[in-house]
Amino acid sequence: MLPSDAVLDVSNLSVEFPTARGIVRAVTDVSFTIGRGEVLGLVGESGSGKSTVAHALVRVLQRSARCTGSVLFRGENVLSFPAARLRQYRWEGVSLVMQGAMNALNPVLTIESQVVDVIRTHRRVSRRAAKASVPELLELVGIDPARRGAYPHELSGGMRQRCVIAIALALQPDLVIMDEPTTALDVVVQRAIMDEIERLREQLGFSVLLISHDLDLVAERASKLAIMYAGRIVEVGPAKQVVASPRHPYTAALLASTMSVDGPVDRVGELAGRPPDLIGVQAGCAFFPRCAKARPGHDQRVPLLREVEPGHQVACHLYPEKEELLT
Amino acid sequence: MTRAVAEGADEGVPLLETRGLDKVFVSGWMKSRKTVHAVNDVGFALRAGQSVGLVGESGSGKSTVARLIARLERPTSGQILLNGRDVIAGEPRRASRAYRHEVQMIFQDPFSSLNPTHTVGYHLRRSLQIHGTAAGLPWGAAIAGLLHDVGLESIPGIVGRYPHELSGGQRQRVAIARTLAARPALIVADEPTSMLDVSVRVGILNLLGDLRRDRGIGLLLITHDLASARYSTSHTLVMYAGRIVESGPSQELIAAPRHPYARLLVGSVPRRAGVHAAPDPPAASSAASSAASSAASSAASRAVGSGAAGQPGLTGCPFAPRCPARMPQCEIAMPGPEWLDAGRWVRCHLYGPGSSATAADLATRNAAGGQLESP
Repeated sequence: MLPSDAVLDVSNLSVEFPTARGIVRAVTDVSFTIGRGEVLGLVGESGSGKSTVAHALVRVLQRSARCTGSVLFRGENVLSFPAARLRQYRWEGVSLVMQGAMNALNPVLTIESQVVDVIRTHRRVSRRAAKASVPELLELVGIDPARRGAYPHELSGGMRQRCVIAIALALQPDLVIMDEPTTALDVVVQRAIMDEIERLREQLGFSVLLISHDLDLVAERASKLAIMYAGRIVEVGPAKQVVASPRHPYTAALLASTMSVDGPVDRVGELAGRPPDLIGVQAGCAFFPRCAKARPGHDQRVPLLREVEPGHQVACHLYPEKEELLT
Repeated sequence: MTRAVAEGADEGVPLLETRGLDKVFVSGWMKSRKTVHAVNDVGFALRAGQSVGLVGESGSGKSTVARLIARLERPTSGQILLNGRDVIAGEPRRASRAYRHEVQMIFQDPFSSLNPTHTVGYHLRRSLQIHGTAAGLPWGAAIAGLLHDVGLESIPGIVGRYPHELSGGQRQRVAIARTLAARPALIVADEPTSMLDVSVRVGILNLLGDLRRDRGIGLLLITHDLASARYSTSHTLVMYAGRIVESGPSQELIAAPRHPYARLLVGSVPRRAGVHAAPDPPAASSAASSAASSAASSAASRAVGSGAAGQPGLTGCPFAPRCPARMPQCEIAMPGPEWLDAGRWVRCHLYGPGSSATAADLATRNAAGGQLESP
């Protein structure tokens, strides 16, 4: 992909939180690009750092967080934006649908006024003009514009989530980050919302960073998948390839521990153990203690991402580096 | 304790049976008075060592069924039979301690079902105390036994830890250990894995499955996740708007659902096979699943404002407004249960008049054990 085609170009992003127990390395050396109109899926267990990545991209991390690396948006580094530019970048450039956002709507304001608030915070328009754009936005996400005066409690979970998506799209951003957009919803509504997002993306041409712990959900929607473990991306590649032939033992274990509605119903093996504590320095591969294929020495050095087939990279000691391959 | 009580033992009285279970919630006063028929004519049976899944969307009444069986709510009408004994007639106001002993519930949210100010040890000790099941063992040994049963024995210092120091999966295991302290015959698990990571879910379900097999505990699994129901139950009931609309052996039902709502549910699940296929809806080879996915996409747009809560006075099928196969009679009469093959029935006009079979018939067939044969 040409660099000019990339909406967002993230390189060597690291996020650290100083705590009383030590420095938590929540995100380490994460790099990826999101192309125009592309859907990138970011998958990992709770605590793998995937939400921290989302927060870093729009700079809503807590003040004490130390964020290094670069996040290039149209060639400019987001991490060094001054306040005014940042305000413009948020929502007009990149919007974020946070985890559980449907429960974050203000209960005492109508949806219309919440949409108007967002528009007027990030763009200098009159209240009347902002209000005028509400019906169209609601229609876009499949809500009857007549309901614009409704309060959040009058809407079902699925409708609240549609409202949140309408708010995210209010200023036509180039990229929408969706952190677990359908986790609290049941499957029928989940599919309806995901279909809606896909339709809107085709219609409006924005890119999506889709974050979830549900590999099957993401794999069905994303063109490219990045698997995170303990703050690092351990595998990245075309979604179909990663799911059909996972290279990293963690990805394979994730896939194997997921129950399905088709295929055999043998006892599914659980992924035993827990992700490591992210305090302190990691010596070797973070997955080492849980890895079925670990060999002595794998806990000595952190494996780096290397290409195993075109566009498919894995950070795992099982795949020798290029020089080793040649010898 | 033995394999004899495991699945397939059809003889004798079922561990749990419900007949014509109804729950109507009333809210408001005078003119603003509203009633919601949350559970409507629910009848099923569950044998010792058997697992039954109750699936449906939020608001379908499945959690209310769980709460009725755990006797956290009183049914408006209908019977709950435990080992053949009508417990509502016997203990109309509150469940006896003996009943609570035998029927234990696991809740969805292990973050709020455990008290944040008490340690794991305290939670388990309280349960052992209340149910008097320590059997003369010192507390430490009894608690260690429970922790071993749920696979937490290897966590250092677990007894002294507080809920916030545990992961979601570990917390849910503590909640299960607490129910085991009562030595239950039946565990009612209300969405026990929906708050957990996909990778942790299977561990909890494996644990519940082991308890069911090894100890003959009956399991009623309430879930909206069809994959969980298929994986860990032998029989599945699909609920919509307070009614069971389809019932059958889990694998067969989920492989080829008959009721249009069940098809919609199954067709909505993300599928791994989907990524190999065309970009559009997941490709399906069999007619049944292609019907399912087309139902899924067509009903997807109508999913907003679903008629999940049962409205009283509604005569027709509650799914009719969303149904892709709607017929004139669907808006007039609620279809009766129609038997398809062994152990499978559906409430849908597509499968015949259905009016001949009544709820009473169903209850008889339930009681005869015809409904819940193992696959």
